[in-house]
Amino acid sequence: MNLNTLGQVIVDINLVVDEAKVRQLAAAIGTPTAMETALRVPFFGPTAAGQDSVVAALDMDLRRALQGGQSYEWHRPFRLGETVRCRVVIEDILDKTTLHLATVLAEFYSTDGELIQRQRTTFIERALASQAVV
Amino acid sequence: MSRPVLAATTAAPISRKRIADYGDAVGDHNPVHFDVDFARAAGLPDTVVHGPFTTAIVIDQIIAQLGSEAILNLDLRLRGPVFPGDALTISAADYGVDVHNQSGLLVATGVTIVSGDEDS
Repeated sequence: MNLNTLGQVIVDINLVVDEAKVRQLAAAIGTPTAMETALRVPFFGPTAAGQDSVVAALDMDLRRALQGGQSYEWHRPFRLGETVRCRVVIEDILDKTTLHLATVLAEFYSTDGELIQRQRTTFIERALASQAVV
Repeated sequence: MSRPVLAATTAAPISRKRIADYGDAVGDHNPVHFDVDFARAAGLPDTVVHGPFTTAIVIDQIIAQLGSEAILNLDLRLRGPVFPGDALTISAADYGVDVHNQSGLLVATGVTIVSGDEDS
């Protein structure tokens, strides 16, 4: 993991909440309430913009990486078809010698600047054996 | 207003197809979720479910019981891997929710803030 990425803005773009994508996500969830849920768990952000952009920015080795947690602060659900600003930043980096932890903050705003949702994802990467303190 | 009570519920087992559908939907094609050989090389017995998909399943179970407007915050700690075929049981805890797999292993804990909390 690149430990010198604290504060780096990974993504700052406008996205459209695409109905087809939301429905695809709801289908994976597969319950009667899945559509409501899919409008609260974005298909973009640290998972999608996400998985690729974050992995590249943090230079994570996927064989040693896992997700440690995720938090959501909801202000309202996304609306189908709306344009949102998605800003993803590396909020915290911790070097625990045998583990590296990175917290990635994703914020989603309406075009009026209204905060829709704040999301934090914690990634953990085990250090290489040669770096580990036994 | 008092805090709403969450009854223990078990979600449907997470099939490999649903994991693939989730990966397609969010554009996350990390091989640890799809490639058993890759997962084994990483020291896992099988591929693992995307953490955010586990989170989404937990959120969905809460929404199914309390309604989508009730849940305001969730802070979920993933404490163990979730594998294809796992059926997650979400139950109430003092701080929010516990998530166990079908073997009774605690795989996640979540601190929740739901409507009503701010009045208590």
